[in-house]
Amino acid sequence: MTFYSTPASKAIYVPGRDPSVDEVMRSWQHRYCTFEDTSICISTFNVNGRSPPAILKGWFSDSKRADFYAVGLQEMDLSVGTYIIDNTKKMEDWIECIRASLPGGSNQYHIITSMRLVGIFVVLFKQNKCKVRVTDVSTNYVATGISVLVNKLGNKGATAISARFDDTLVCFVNSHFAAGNNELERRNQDFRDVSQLSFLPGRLNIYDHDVIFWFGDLNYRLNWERIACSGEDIRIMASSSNYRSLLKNDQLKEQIKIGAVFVGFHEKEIFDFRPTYKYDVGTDVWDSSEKGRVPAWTDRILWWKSGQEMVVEQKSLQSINNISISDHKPVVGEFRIVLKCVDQKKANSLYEEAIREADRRANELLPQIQLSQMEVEFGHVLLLEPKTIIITIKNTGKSQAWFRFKNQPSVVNPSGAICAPWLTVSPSHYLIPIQQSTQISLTVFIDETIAASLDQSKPVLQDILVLSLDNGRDHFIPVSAKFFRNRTEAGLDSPLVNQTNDVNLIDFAKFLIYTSSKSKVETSIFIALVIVTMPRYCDIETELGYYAHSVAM
Amino acid sequence: MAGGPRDYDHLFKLLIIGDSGVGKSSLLLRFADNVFSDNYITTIGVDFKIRTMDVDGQRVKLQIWDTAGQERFRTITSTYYRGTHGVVVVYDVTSGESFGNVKRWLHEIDTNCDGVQKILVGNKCEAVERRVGSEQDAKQFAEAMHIPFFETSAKENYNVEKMFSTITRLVLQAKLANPSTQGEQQRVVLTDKAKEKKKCKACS
Repeated sequence: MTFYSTPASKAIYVPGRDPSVDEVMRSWQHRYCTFEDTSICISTFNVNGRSPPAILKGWFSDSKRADFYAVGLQEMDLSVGTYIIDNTKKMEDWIECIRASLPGGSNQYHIITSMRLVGIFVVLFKQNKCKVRVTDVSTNYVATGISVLVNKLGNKGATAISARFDDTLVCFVNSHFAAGNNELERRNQDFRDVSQLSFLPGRLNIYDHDVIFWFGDLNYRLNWERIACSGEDIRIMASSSNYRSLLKNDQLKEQIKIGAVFVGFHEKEIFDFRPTYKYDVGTDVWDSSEKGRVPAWTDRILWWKSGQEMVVEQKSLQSINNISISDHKPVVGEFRIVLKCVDQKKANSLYEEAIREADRRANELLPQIQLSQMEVEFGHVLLLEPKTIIITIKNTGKSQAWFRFKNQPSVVNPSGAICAPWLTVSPSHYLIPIQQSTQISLTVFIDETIAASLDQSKPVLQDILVLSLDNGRDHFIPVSAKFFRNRTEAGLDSPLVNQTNDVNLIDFAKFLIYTSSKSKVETSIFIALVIVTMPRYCDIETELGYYAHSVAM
Repeated sequence: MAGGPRDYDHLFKLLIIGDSGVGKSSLLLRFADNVFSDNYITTIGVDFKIRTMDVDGQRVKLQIWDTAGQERFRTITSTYYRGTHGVVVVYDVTSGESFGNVKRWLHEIDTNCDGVQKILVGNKCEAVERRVGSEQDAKQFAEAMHIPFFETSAKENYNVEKMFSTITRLVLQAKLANPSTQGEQQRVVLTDKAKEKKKCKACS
């Protein structure tokens, strides 16, 4: 089309400059992208400070080998020294343990990157034979929890990895939130703090990614007091086949539902595994210590995606019950995501068109209204006799329409009011939802003061209202009326013939008084005349018809 | 990404003026939305649309205002000249009267704004059989007034793009040549209509 062939610019499409253009480009991505599936396996495990064995058999499924493994550990190192000295020994041991536990053993996968904050550790592995390009890898952390002076110790918080898989930005967040049954609000605060994570100092926020996997020991508990008298009851329920019913009292699911945290994130609705916390180490027995912690699903895997175009499919979610080295069980989730590969040349060639499309959409979203009449003519108005005309404004656009009558420029109306003194407009501003209407009443009322200020030689009064739409166009509404001091001046004294040209809602009341003094036949004729001469006042027509009928009876 | 650069380098306000019925709204619709309608609806008010274009490698976002041409709205529409960077004066090549009024419109610009760019446009040039006056005459007139001239057809999409990019280029060049004098006008914001009380020099 010639229309789009504006002078060929060498514009390069870079996402992130204009959200409206990005939105268009996203919805058009099939035109410049190719797509490929990849599999990602996520695991979170609070290891309770334990030293890893050489291998944890059964952690990952041997039959389904994922292209990527992202593993988050919490409490990897609980020793006091770890807060002071950066001891990497344990981390290295854990990396070796995880690598050995991956399907096919150590030599099938290599590390892309890892990040540690005290005991919060995240690592990303990629299968050697996987063809996905991994670029722009960066890591960061957020420390929450105990403060020493101004610094957070980092006993709680998160470590995260950001990477580009082909041309899809993927973010992995491993977090450890505040513990304790009564620390709900602190956990929510931890979520908010960790949400501030950014990569490439301040330039890439987590929500700039196409997909976020957020996992860890989030420490949300069960609101068990509502359903049971004691923690023991909960332990019994958690052991029974009916354990899923406890999910109804899961704090995190509740908090998500009310929109307190993880807005827009997804998590598997039902868990097919028992609470992952808290066990006697080395067993499948609920915490038998003096503290007698109540079971909870503290270990979670959630995900978020940028838009409809992004495909993320959760294949499974389970806990690994036979791994008993910790007081938590590891949780494993398998995902399939569709990665895009951008053909930059094609993207650039579409860029101009996308800007046009973004403009078109923006124009379409400008508020639009329709007025029931473009001009308002009052006809004759008399001293001290108010006359009202109603106009309907319909919002015909795709956005809500907030209108106001604008103050008139001083060249038009020296007082700067929205209209001339003989006119009132109500309401003077209002918000009309999409496809809805509102009515505005315009009333002319002339008292002695106003009459005195009018130019007597010109009976025609004229004004122009400026109806302004917020972030949209202005409509001009010309208003006119012919002012006369009394009926004689207006030539209105012969009631039957002249008045019919002039009946309006206000006159109607008077007209009823007038008709009540006449005979029924006379009135019926009068009404018939009014109906014939006044087709524009539909409502009155009906009412008069009704009235004529009742009079004739 | 938060706080990143915008998708445009400049934001300009253009105004379309001229007699009623010469095709101001049609030109805007063709330019902004690439549509044309034969149904004539007179503009009773002031409408605007946006369009981003590339001029000399610079990305320019235009906010283009289409004004009512009717005589009785003249006083009110004159208040919309404020903050304008460029004005498109349109006449209808099939109406001698509308061409005759061009001088008045140019005068209107002079009384309401300072230092704006202007362009003269003879629209409806597809209506060859109804044309009055020659293109040559109009061209000479425009030359005498030192303003660029285009004949356009909103209906057949002839010269519309070219005309708007010409006025935009003029505005851009004026801004680049003398950035300080346009400082005031650069503050036009798409959504900001609150500052309307402020008037341009000639009004105060």
